[in-house]
Amino acid sequence: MWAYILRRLFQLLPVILLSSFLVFMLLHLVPGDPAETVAGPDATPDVIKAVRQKMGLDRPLLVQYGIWLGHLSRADLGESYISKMPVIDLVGYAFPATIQLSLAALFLSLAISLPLGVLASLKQGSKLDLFVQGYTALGLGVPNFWLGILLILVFALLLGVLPPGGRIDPLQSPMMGLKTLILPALTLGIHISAVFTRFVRAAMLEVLHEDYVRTARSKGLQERVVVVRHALRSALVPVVTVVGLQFGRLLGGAVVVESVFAWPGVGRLIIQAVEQRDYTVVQASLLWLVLVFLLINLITDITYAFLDPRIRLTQGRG
Amino acid sequence: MGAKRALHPEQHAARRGATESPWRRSVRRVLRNPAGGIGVSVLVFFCGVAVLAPFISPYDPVIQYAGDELLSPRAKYPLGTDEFGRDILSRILYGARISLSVGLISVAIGFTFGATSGLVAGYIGGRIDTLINRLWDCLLAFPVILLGIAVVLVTGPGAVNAAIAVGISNIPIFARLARACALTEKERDYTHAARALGGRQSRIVFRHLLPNALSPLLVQSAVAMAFAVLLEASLSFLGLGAQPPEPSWGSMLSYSRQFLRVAWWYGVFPGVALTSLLIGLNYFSDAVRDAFDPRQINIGR
Repeated sequence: MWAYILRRLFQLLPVILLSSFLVFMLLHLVPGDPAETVAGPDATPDVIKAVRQKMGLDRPLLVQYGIWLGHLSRADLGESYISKMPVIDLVGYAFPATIQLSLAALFLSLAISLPLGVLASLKQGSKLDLFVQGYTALGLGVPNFWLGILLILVFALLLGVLPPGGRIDPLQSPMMGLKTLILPALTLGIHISAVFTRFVRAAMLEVLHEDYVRTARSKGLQERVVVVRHALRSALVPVVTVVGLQFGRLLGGAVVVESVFAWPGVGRLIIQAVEQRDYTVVQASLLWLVLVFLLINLITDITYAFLDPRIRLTQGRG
Repeated sequence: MGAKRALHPEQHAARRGATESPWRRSVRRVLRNPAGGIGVSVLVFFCGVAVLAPFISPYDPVIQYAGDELLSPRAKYPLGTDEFGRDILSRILYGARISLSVGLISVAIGFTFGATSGLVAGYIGGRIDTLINRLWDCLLAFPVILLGIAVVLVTGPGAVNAAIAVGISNIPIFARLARACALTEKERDYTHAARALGGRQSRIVFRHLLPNALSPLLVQSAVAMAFAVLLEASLSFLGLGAQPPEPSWGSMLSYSRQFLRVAWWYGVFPGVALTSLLIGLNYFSDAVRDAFDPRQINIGR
């Protein structure tokens, strides 16, 4: 197991290096000169030149990349062009909000999809099954930002029971914190729940026809025990991977949903920074999300290998 | 009364299956599948709307009628108007053009670059294979929406650039599929034969490997189309895709947010159009996948 983890970590290194290089290059590919942006609109050519020197933009690209990596390793992500705040503080402030939203959405989607998927698989072809399949088709088709708009229309504007946006720290006011969380988490969670429901249903259908489930039934075990202890348990193994893979998607989806609900997470930070051409912030938050994404993929792979010994013995040897 | 009449319908089907080309069989299966039928109808409907938009739209999508701002749906404006007094129905009809063309362009980009690089990498192998693979792995490491944002940041916002961004995010998936096919097909006898006959590498890749990799690539194209339409709408919603006054569904929904309190129709109808197209495309791609799935070819019919 440790050999497998080490091997995977080793394989991850070039990917991290290359993606950091891509993110680094972004700043140099965007139209316009960052030095001019920093120096301001009224700066004379001399001032711009000085700023460029100070920022190290006059040095060879690879040297700049090396310096940037050096700063990164000391957790120094530079400062925002606009607010002059250290970027690490901006990302550090926004990231908990994104994680809170993603975890809440993940929780909601599992709470919806496990019962729906299991029930649909037990009554295959029934009206309930049809309803569940309709739900998944709809959930997969509805774009999350439109779902967000609809939820705002109904729950915030029509019924007035929930706020239309913003975030209140749950540590300061648990009740208000929960209220601001519900709509964004639902918006993000419903799409993912459709993916999970499909998966749980398919996995359960496969397992329910296995011999050991029949054996459990013929032993005279209660149906509930057969379903939960015998069938669901092994059906959950592939679901774990899907949960891991979807968590990455969740982070991506959060970028859009955060914009809908003015949720102050990393996604909204990126979009605002893009609008303001605040490239150091874009760079740092992109890199941060990519690293988190890679880390989650790694954890997913390791979990899966832990559950299924065949993988750690055959894969990743090349 | 010949033996013909005695044939059981299933035998008929079996006989037809034996002589019919795989392509025709797949098309027939897509259409016979109920989900595929819905998907194809939706797709045909929106293609029709996109092509005929100038003839069926009641108004010009960018002309602003002063004094008619934010009117609710009525006979004159069936789906209401937006904050500049533009007809929402006409804008939705024209919006189908942006969605579908961005989808098609980006799938074409993903297919062309992905399939070529994947086939070449798989066929040649060695260092080139490793290099190309690593590069695409990195692209896959970016959540797609972030990749889209990064590309648009470099190229500048706009519908065409959004299509390029979506296309680039499609490349790695097509490349992986093509590479996997090339890896198996290059060891087949016919490839060895082509090489023994002195066939050029490019000819072997495009004349021999590509046709055999085509069916998974086509299935992926259908999946990628739905994905591309959604990603374009998301980028436009974030202000990075089609720019005003171009009528993109995503950007319409984005602007509608400021007026939700007074104009619900503005935030609802563009979403209905987008969602119907997406659900149709999802059904379509499911049906295409089922039709091309080799495991199903010998089952039934």
